[in-house]
This record gives sequence, structure tokens and C-alpha cells, in this order.
Amino acid sequence: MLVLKRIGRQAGRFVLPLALAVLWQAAAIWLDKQTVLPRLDAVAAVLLHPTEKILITGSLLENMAISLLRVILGFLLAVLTAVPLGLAMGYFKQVNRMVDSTVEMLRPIPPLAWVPLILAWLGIRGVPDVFPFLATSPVWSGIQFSTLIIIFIGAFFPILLNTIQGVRSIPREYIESARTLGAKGLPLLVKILIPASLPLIVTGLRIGLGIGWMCLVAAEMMPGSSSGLGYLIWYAYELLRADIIVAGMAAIGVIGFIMDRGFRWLEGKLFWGGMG
Amino acid sequence: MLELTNVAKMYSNINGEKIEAVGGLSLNIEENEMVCLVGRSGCGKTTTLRLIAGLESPSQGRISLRGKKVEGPAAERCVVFQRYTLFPWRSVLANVAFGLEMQGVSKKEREAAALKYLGLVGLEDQAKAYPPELSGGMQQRVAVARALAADPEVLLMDEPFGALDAQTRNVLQQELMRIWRADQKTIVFVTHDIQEAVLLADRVVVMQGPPGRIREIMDCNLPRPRDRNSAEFIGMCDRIHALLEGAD
Repeated sequence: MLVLKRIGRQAGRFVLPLALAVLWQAAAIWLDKQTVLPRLDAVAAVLLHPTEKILITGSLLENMAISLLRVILGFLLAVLTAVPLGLAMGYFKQVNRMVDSTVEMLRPIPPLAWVPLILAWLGIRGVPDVFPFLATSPVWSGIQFSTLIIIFIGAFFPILLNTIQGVRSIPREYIESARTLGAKGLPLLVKILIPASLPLIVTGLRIGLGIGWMCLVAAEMMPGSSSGLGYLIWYAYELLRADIIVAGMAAIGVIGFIMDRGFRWLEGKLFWGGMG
Repeated sequence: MLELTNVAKMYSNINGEKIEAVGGLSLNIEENEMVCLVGRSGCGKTTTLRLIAGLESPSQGRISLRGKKVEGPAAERCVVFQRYTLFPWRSVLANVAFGLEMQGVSKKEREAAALKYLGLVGLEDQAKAYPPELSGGMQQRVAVARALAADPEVLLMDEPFGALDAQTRNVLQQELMRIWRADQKTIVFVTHDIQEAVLLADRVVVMQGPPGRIREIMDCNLPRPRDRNSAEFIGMCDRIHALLEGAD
């Protein structure tokens, strides 16, 4: 009985998505207009053959891979700048005073509002234009700096703000105990400040990666793009292939979901998070 | 050994007014002595401890350890706090080894030393545990072991047992006396609990304030282990109580 109950509880998760799917499919069959509301079996056909070439843009899997590579590069750029700056702003009041108002003015600007300016600055320059030794690989030629910068801007602020908050929420006693045990300088940073603020830093990484992912898809719709899930969706729109549009959207959703769960799992591992 | 000469500490509050937390305090603490600072909350006893630790610097006067001026925190003056004492991301063993790690002692050596001090507080079997898995009393014992493992000249304790229940507090007070006898240390112990002070101290420094000043220094020569129910013990507590009542 207990097992049945448990199964019943788990089944609850699937009720809503299943109902939505049935409703969608029924509406699609009734409307019978594939260019507006594609049938789910057509969408599933695209999703179930991820290695097959779609139109002329490469396979679904290839487009997912290039999108992931872009988001990871932009995200790493954000991590490498936002975490150190956040640690400094959280720990040193003077640094915070110097940087805070600038950050707070730039932060409300939506990453996509930067697009025209960044295109004006960087155009459609790809990574191999700057690092010629990478030109031999076809992977790098599809990665433009403007795309990376948009992702970077999206990911940067949540990481920065959470890191600052992470340092500020460290109980004073941790730092003072460490200092009276002889810790200072770099060891104090590496052994105390970073681990003590890690739970909130990871939260920042999770949110930053999520926003970066959202910006990526939009950035891939910019001129000069020729690959990626965002591009795939846009291209499918021009050919009135709504089944591919929905399949592309589903892929974006699933990848975003998996990344979020991964970071949530990591947050759960950092069990001292609730102690601050 | 530890000398405070006419030490004062001034703060500015939010409105820019000067607040005097400690005002002209002089005190000499001898080698291996256990000194308790007692007083009401806000009387400047914790500030005094923080000044000795080097976590604050005096606005006036001088603090010196073996003739050397105290400047900034250092492992020779280790503090045990009341709360958030252990680093929750480190195992118990790694917590106790932290001070030696900062001194650059090798992993093998510092872990051996940490185990020894964990043994001293009776918690060798918890070496691999993480602080959140331990009870409050066990955490404070580990904190004491961690401070001792760093081999400080002076051990500073800021109401270390204040957050524990009465029974655990009693046990830890006995433990501290046993450890203090085994591992001779100079200890400065801040508490608002008069009984705790009389139970532990060679000398009880009764403070009043703000600004924090010494009301009286009382020698406490009762034989150890001390009996809380003896007439001398109760008499001493009553005298301190009366001093604190009259203080302001």
C-alpha cells in the first residue's frame, strides 16, 4: 500500500504536463494548421532524431553543442570577473564605496539593450579573428565575441551580487577566530572567505548561468549568427516550420532545467549554507 | 606577563558621538593564571578581551605581552567565542589543525597534534565528523581543543559556555579546569556568570561601566575542585554580587 501511495504521489508531477500535451495535441488536430500549431508527433519526430541534419543548419545536437559552448565561455568569463570583484566588494568597504554606484547603474540595463552597441563595437568578429591559431577548428569560427559579451553581461550581475552578499553574511566570528589562529592575507581568503561564502556564490552561479542561457538564445538571433538553438528557431520561423521551432524551444527548456538542477544539487551539498 | 596600562577604547556611534567603551583600565596578568572578567552586559569586558586579542586597537594606553606591544591579532592570543566558533565546512580534525596549518606545519604532523588535543577534550572519535553534526557542548570542546592546538601564550575566552544549557555548562567548566591543569595556560575568561567566575578563577576582576573600569580585583584562593555549596564559595559570590549591584 505504501508503495502505491508513493507512486501516486510521484505521479502527481506528471498530471499537469500530460494534460497540457493532450490539450495541445487535440487543438493541433482540430486546427489542422502545422505552420501555426504543430502536432506533437511532428515535434517529437524532430526531437527523437537529434543527429539528423535539420534544413541546412546542422543537426539538433550540433546546434545544442554550439549553444552550450557559447554559454559556458560567456559564463566562465563572468565567473572569473564577478567572483573576485564580489569578494573584494564584500570584504573591503572602501572597494565597495568605489564600485557600488557604477554597478548599480549598469545593472538595471537589460543585457539585450547592449546588443546594438556591442554590434557596433565588435561587429560579427569571431574568436578566430582575434586568436588566429583557433581558425583551424570549425567549432571556434562559429563563436562571436558579441554573443559572448551578451551572455557575460547577463551572468555577471547575479554572480556579483550573490558573492558580495555571501561575504557579508559570514559570521564575524569565523573571520575573527581564523585571524586569532594566525590566518591572514591569501590563506584567510582561500581557507575562510571563499568556503564560508560558497553557498551563496553557488546560488549566484546558478542564477547567472540561467540568465546567461536566456541571453544566449536571444543573442543567437542577432545578425551574423549561423548556428545554435536561437538561430535554429529563427531560421525555422522563416521557413514556417513550427514543429522545428517548438522542438528547439523544448531543447532550450530541457537544457536550462538540467543546468538548474545540477546547481541546486550542488547547493544542497553545501550543507552549511543554512547556518549563516 | 600580560600587561594592560591605562587602556581606553573610544568608539564613534552613528551620530558621530564619542562612546567610551573602556576607560583607563590597568591590569597585570601572571603566567599560567586564570583570570575571569565579570560584569553586566555592556560594561566593556568583551571590548577589553577584544583589545587583548588585537581585534580592536586601544585609543589610549598600552597592552603588552612579555614586554612586546600587542598589535593586531595573532596565534599567540587565541580567542574562543560563544557562537559560530567552528568552521562548518571543515571536519573536526581539520578545524583543530587549522592553527598549525597557518603556521605551515605539515599535514601529517598537524593532524597528529590535532588528534592529541581532541583526545584531551575526549572527542578523538569525532575527528571525521563535521561541526553541524555535533552538539553545542561538543562544538565548544572542539573549539577549546583548536585554540590549545595553536599553542597560544594566552587563551582568551569570550563567554564560551554562555549559549549552553546549565548541565552541559557545568560539565564543560569541570573539563576546562582539568585541561587547564594538564596543559598549563594563561587564560583570560569573560563571563557575566558570577558562579562561573568564582568556580574557575585565580582572580576575579569585577568590572563596571561603561566606560569599562575595574571595580575591584578579588583573589580567589578556594581549594580546587571547588564546591558550589560551600559557605566560602557562596560568600564570595555574594560579595561580587553586592559589588555589581552597587556598581555604575
